[in-house]
Amino acid sequence: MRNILNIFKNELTHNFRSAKSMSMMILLPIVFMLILGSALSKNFTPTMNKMEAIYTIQSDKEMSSTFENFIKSAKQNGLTFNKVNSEKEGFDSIKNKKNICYVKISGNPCKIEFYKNARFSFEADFAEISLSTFVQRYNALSEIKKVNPTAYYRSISNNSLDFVKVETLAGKKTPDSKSYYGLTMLTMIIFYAMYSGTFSIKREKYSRTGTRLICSPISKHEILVGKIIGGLLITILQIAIVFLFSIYIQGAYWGTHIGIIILILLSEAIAALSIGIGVSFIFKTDAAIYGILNIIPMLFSFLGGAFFSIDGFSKILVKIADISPIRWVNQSITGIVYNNDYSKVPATLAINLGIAIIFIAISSYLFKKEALQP
Amino acid sequence: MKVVKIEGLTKKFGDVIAVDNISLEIEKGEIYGLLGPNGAGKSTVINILSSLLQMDKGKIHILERDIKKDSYFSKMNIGIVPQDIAIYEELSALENVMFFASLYGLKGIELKERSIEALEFVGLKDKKKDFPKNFSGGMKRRLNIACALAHRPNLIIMDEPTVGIDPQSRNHILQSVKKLNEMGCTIIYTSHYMEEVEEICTKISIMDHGKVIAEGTKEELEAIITNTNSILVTVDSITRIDENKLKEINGVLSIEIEDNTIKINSSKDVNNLDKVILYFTTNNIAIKNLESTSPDLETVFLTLTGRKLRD
Repeated sequence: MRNILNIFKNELTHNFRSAKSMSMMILLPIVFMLILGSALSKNFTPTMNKMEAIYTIQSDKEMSSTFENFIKSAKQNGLTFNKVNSEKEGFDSIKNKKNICYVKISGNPCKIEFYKNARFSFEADFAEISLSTFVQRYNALSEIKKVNPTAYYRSISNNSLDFVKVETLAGKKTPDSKSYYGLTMLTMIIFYAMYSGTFSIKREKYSRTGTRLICSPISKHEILVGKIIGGLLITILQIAIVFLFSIYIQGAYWGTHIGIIILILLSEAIAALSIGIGVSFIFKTDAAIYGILNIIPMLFSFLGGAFFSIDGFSKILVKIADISPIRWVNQSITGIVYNNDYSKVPATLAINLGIAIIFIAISSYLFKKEALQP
Repeated sequence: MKVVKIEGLTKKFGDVIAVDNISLEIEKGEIYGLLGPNGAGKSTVINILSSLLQMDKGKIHILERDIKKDSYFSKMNIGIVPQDIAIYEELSALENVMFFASLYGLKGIELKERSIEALEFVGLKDKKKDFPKNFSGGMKRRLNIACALAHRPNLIIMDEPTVGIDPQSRNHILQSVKKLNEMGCTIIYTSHYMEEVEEICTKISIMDHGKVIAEGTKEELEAIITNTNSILVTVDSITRIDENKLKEINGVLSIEIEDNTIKINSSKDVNNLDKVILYFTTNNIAIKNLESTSPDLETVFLTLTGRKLRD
């Protein structure tokens, strides 16, 4: 235990004294946050286009009448429905981006189909949610009519009947640019802790001190654990500064569940440090090591949506992006902050800690006595 | 008491036998010189003693305890001065010594006192707060030694501790080695400078091709070469010297040339001094000085290994 503490203290001293890398790890994400957060703020503010939808209806009279009521109700919320004569006209209109969506009502029992143009995603989402509310209520009223017709007619004559409820859309919050880049820059820079991990081992090679470590009465596990804990504390300090900056200067929103968010961020730091240490053992040449250090954090950051969300790209790319632990971290935290959604947290923690275990095991296995020597 | 006992030590790297079944013993209080040309196997022996390499065969006892069975004990009792300077540039001199000493269980006031003591020993006490990046090569070498001393090891292994430093620092280091020895430390010392080995070592082992080919005190080793004497010829210029022609003279065994002095090692049984002088006069090479000497350690080494120590 004392030896772990000695290695840990040595790591801290070295990191604190390399002011250049310390300041880079803090200043870089802050500068990125400021630049990207302000330069791309417009891309994160939903601007409403004119909400004009079209529809065709080939259904019974009752459905037509109910849908007319829905159209009136929707109009009060700025969503206009215009009837077109044919399906073809409806589809062409969507393709040509003239309207935000096309609703096709046909058959008996009635079937409602919804087509939207991706260009108007926000407006179309609004229309879809409104229509979904309408369908739910229509189904409910149909059931009421079957068992209690009196109650049904009382319901449809009730002026307060509102087919459009917009609470669902308003409740689905999304981050603004400051919050988005506050998160993504922080998770990106945490992954750069890979460098700390690698250099904590490389330092012993460059300064030839690995020889002394191996000759001294200290085990390889004490060396590895001391180095990981030392690197982790430095990373925590860097995270804390960037995190506080994002809240108090940048104005990023981190929600109210800070504890679990910090836990996720720590798991990412442990994974990054472990990968960094592992890389220094797996790859023998400096060229290979620097190649990995330059590529992996940047690639994972990109796939994780560090600079822009890749969710709008092809499905294949989105699937590939799941290899990035940063993406899992970003999605978990976004889910917690904006939707109170914890579903991705266990998987994210498991991925990060799993990566850490694998790379520490590899490092331990490859920790031959020659490994620390120049 | 035997501080080091090596029996049948063998180490192979692939098909190459780096150390071939060697055995040697080092008594307490010795300064044991390990000599050999490059590739002789001395670094391999030192690396095995230091736990940097695993042996393939054999037994090593440090202070009468098996190095394999009790590696913690042997590590605690050994101080390593590696050939490459092994210090952190980002730590001060005192921090360097304290860090490495802390790995040997020292802590608190004792750790600091012993570390300062080690720095004082190598003449760096007044530089304890300075960083090695501002040190000369000699000062770094001295700090390299201090890092091996603070835990007061019984055995200190010094692998070429004076490489590439100024005469003043070299002298300081040699005096330090003697002082450590006087304090009871046993020292294993390797060097490419024969005069250092001759000056400080109480026992010398010459290795070649992975084997110990000779062992003893300086006098004992010099006595091995009983059938050789040396003629030292100092000339104005060596530009016209043809080594091969000199070697053709009857009885000449080997030639060493340093500056303007030619050392001709010759068989004692052959009186060839007149022929040697004739070579110089017929080639119009002016002789400034000429003397006949008994073989020294360098001659012994050259005769046994066929190479000079610095080759």
